[in-house]
Amino acid sequence: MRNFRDFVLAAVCVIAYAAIWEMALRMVGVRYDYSFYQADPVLYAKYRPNAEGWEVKESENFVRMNSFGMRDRERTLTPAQGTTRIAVLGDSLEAGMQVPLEKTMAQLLEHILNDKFTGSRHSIEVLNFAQGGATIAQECLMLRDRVWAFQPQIVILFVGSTSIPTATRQLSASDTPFYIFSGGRLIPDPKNQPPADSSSEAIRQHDAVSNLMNRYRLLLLVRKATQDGVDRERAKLSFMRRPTGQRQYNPMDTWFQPPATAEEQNAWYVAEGLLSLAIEDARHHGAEFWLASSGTEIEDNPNASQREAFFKEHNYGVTYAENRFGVFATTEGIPYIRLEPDLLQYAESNMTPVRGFFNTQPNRGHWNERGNSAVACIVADRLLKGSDVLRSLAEASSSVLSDSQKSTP
Amino acid sequence: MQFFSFDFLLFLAITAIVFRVIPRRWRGHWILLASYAFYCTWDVRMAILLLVATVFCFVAGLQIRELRNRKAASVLTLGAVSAFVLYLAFFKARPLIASGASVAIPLGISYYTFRLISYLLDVYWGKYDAERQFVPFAAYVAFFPHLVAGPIQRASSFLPQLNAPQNWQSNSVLAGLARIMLGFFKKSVVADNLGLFVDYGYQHMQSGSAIPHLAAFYLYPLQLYADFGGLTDIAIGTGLLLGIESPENFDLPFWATSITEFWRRWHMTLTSFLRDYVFIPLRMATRSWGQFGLILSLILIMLLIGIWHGFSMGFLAFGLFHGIALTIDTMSSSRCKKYYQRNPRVALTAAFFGPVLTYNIVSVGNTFFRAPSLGSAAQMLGGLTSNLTHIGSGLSALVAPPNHYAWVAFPGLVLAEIADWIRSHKGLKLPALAPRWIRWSAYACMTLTCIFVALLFLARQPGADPFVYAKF
Repeated sequence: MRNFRDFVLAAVCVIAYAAIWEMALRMVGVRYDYSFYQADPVLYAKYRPNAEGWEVKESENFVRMNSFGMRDRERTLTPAQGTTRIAVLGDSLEAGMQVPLEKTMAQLLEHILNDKFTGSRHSIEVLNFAQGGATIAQECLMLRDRVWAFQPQIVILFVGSTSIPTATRQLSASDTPFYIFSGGRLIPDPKNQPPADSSSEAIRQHDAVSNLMNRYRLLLLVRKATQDGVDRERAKLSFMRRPTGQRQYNPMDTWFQPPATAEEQNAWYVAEGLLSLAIEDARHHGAEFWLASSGTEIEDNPNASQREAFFKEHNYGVTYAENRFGVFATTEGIPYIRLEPDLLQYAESNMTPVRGFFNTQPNRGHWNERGNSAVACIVADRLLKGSDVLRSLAEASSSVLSDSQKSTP
Repeated sequence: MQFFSFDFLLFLAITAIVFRVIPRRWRGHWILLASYAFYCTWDVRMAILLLVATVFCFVAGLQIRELRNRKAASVLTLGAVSAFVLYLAFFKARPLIASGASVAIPLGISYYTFRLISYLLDVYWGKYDAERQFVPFAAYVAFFPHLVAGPIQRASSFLPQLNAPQNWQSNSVLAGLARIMLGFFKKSVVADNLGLFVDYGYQHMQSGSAIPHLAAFYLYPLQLYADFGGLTDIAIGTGLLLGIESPENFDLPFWATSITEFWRRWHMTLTSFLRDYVFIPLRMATRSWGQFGLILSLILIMLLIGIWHGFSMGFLAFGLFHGIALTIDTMSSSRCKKYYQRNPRVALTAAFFGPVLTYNIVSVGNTFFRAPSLGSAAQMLGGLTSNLTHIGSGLSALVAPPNHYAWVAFPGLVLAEIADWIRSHKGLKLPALAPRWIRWSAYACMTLTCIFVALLFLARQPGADPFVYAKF
């Protein structure tokens, strides 16, 4: 009995002590990467519905996913009457985890477009399907499997500097779905291995654990230490660099230069093939398809000397990828938004970096609030000028407005 | 291998466990092996250099003992000590000579050279008999907990402990671990966060506001204290795990009522080393010069402390400033004492304002220590009263991201001081008759602390802020 009493008292002390640690970690601002993903049999990884936590690598921002697992406010599957929906597909740049939700490009775009239609009975909703680390294949699969349920009339698919290097297994070591050409047709790579734990029960359990971890700093610490730290220590013990087995491609090379190898050429073919499938998919659903290229951090760096030094150092000339996507869009007959010249102009004229946060270097990483705002303005401008859907909406609105003005005594 | 790393924790755990399980007669050998393994993680060539210096000193010590009371002993002692001083000066001056180029400096060269010099002089003066066994002596010189930044322990205090190790005492292990954790706390919670404010101050000297200047000026002494104090705590705690009690380096230095008292409480093992082996012989040599001899000795000793940190104008100015401050304090102390005896109220006021004045003097000296150049030190001091009109906005900018959590340094400092007070007055050991559940709780919480600290190191990005004093 005495043993049991002592044990209970000691256990209570230990629990209280752990609670003190938890409070201390919160007080000193210790935060580690929060978990926002869950396994998915199609996309392999997607944002977890209702996941919430802090983004800490760049800036410090509390992120909350909606019930569909989108970096977006709460939406309904069916749009309200008179609502035109725009679906945005992209990667972490467009997901905008580093800025508050209302400052993300998609939300600002929605705001700008709705301002244009103020007074009409039409409204615009911009649904953000962008997801950190998304490849072109994942964006296309997202479009095929998830987006249409929300009935968008316009789809904007963003490509960036990682789009080509992650298009094929030869260039990318990531665990994402890949496509290959077989008999002139694009088919899922037979080597694709969906996550083993993608059954609904396993996902449910994983979600519960992840949500619990996101709640406690001590658990986040354990996860961070066991994920990153143990690998780092193991690498040290091996006394050598771990062989990767694959050549590491510099994403900048594929962005700024024509493909130098057969693997790079194949990655381009696969990426373009996937985009063609997405365009076909959009046409099949009667939606307008826009392609947008987000560019790289050096292209929108307002510091001209740094830009010049970078291009000189790497011997880069014109931006190959942006031009090639432009040619592709023309061939496919779809509108194309090339952000970079306009984004750089914004950065230069405002003398402000569009990327970078207080805890990162300026002009590095993801778009900051100014960057998201600038991109939203650029995209809105191009949509208002070139979208048939929005043009017809504007015409309908103006006729409604003029009718209402006529009926006003 | 940095003290502030997971690698060190792992290394320490293995070293301490093996130390406790092997037979006593092998413990010295084990400490020597572990110390050289630790040293080799920095630079194998420098470990060889350490070994050569150790062998030289060991042989010289034995010879001095043999030749005691003969003139040859004096010559040998003088030669050996001069050789070590030159050896130290050569490596300290290397960065100055090879300006711009990266030069390798043996880790802890100051500390082990001081140990070697003190050993030789103690043997020569007959204060300590020369060690006849090489392994304990080499373990003393290379003792890895003291290698990075001291404390500078004398052979007469270290070797008897090594030669007669105590039995396993769970309380000493607990005290050692607690001391190490206190050191990590001081470094990561207090010093690193205060460092954010100080760095901000030096980066924003041109802002036109006095706030960055005031923040850097007044917080740097605290940052240095927490940083160096933390490093010393880790060294002393590590020593305890290996059965060695080490001398303290700090004794509440910012409670000192005069600059003289401050130097009796700050980096005590260095100041006592310099007092015993430099100041007293120098004072004896200059005693016929009267007050001038005292002034000369004080200024020389402080200049020596300054350039010991490195051959730069900033460190020279630091030493000179403290030398002048010490001289003024020493010259006026007897008069002040008499005046205070006549006016008890003034004495009370002085006791209250003494620490404040001392802190300000230390802050001025440390500005020369921290500033990248004499020009920026002057700029820092000149801007202290530059513009005090926008205090609100200046403070807001100071605590804006990435400094928005740095405020925890202040409660952290209070906690660390309380822990230090408890440690020095009551010890970090469990009461002998503590109930079983308290002992169980203490062991479990300490285990948990070690696990959490190891996890924090694992989760931490490598290459974070090193200890300030690790480079001296």
